[in-house]
Amino acid sequence: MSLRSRGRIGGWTLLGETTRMAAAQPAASMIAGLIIAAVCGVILTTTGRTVQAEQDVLSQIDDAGTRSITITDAHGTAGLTASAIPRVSRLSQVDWALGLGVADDVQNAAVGEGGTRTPSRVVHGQLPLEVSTTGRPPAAGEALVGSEAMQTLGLDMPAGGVHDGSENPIAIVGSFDASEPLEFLNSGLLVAAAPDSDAAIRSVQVLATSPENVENLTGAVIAVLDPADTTALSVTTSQALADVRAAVAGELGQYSRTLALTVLAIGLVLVTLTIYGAVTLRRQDFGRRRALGASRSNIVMIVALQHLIIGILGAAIGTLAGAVMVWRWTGAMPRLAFTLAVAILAILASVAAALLPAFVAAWRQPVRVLRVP
Amino acid sequence: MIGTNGLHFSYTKGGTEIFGGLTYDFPEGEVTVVTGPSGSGKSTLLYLLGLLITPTSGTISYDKRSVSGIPDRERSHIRAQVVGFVFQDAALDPTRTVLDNVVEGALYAGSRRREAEVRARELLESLGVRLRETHRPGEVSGGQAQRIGICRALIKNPSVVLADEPTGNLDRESAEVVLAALSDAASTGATVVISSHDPAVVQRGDHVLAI
Repeated sequence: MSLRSRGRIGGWTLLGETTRMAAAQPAASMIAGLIIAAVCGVILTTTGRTVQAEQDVLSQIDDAGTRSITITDAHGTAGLTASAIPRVSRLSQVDWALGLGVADDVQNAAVGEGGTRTPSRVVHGQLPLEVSTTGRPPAAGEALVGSEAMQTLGLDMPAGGVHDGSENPIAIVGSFDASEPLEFLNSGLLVAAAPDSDAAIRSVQVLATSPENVENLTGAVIAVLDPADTTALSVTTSQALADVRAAVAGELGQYSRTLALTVLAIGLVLVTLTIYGAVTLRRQDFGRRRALGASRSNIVMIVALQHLIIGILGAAIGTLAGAVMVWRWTGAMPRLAFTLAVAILAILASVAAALLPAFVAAWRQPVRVLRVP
Repeated sequence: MIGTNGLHFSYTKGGTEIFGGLTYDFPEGEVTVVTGPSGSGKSTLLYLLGLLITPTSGTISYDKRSVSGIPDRERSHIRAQVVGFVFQDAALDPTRTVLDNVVEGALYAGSRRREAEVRARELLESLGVRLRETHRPGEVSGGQAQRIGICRALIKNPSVVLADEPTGNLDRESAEVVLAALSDAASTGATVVISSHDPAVVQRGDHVLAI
């Protein structure tokens, strides 16, 4: 019989030759695969933990209120009004905004004049997620009592009322517990304002969508509030904390990248040396292939594909082992995106490491190795 | 038909040149034996004809087309499609089975593996080594290895067969089998070129080129 020819080696045949070559050098293939696995494992267990620590630190800084802006009219002379709060809330880069009226002292109505005085503020705007509430939503003029204020007022339940010296007591319909940056409210009561109220307010609390926006947003908020006297306002932002956050993120990120790149570079050199040694040992094999009709690109493809497969196997083993180790040490798995990025980089490093030896093998003169002395 | 025209070659720049402007046509369907003393360039001429190296000056032609200066990609393509190499030491891959070694000769021409395996078994049968198809090269004798090498060279029905000292390490009986196989290839129309200094081989040639 005579053979039909497609003119060039097929993709599957090339893949078959690749696996044959990998199998023909089990030790070299295994060493290259183990180096790639070690690269993934080391990056995950070192940089992965650093990234995790960075996320934890940043998360803690964010919890402490890096995004908050507080604008206070201490003497009530700036002319801030509640009607501006919805407009501030609608600004881009604003997560939420609250307006607070002047703090009035109130006492437990059941105790009378002998009760401990506790601050009560009228609140304008939707309560954010940072304020968790119990009981029913208060109607205008009704109050929620803060978790600390309940003890101060001597309340067992968030019910009853308080009075501020006027004839009509304020009904308590529930309680709240606020976290940063509104934690200071827990020591008092929040009285719901009437819808569309245009009452005077004494402070505005704003949360930016990200710490980087705080600086720019502060000016925009003041412009929307449109105070009669800007000099009467005092502005407190977490800019310093935002700067610390940026510095922490930058330093830890830089450290992580340097560490990962160093490990990757060392792995790249080791794999290159391993492959170069393997290619040198099989120079007769490459010479024979060239004599049988393999082109230089065929040789490069065979070596590169071989190390793509080895890289995939090594990266799979290394990332799995690294992730398990991180989980055992920290109780949390490394982020999927980071793990995948490490695996892909390691696979690319494996192929990159194969290129130089592959070109050396492809450009070596076949006659030099085929000649019999 | 392949040929040379004004061929000169030197392994190093400014080194000793061989062939002295050789012009020769190797006829189709016949066996040409290239002979000469050691170091005269018998193997080198085969490598030049097989486009593994390029002449210092002069040309190699395939079907009257000069192929000396063509890019490596095209030379590889010609080797894959047209040329069958037989090496002095067989040059089999020790990690493959005998069958797989023979099949390898057809892969770079783009043949399908299954079809190549059928053809490989036919050739192994005809050269008396079919029973060894699952063995590794290290498990066969030198004569059997060379027959396997010939099967690999012939699997793609090449129009040019280049055999470099194919009987150099063989006993008389094995050498006869190998030479008969090469003669058979010539009888099907292939241009067969054998390098050898063995008088017995020289006698079997239709033409003798002494260099």
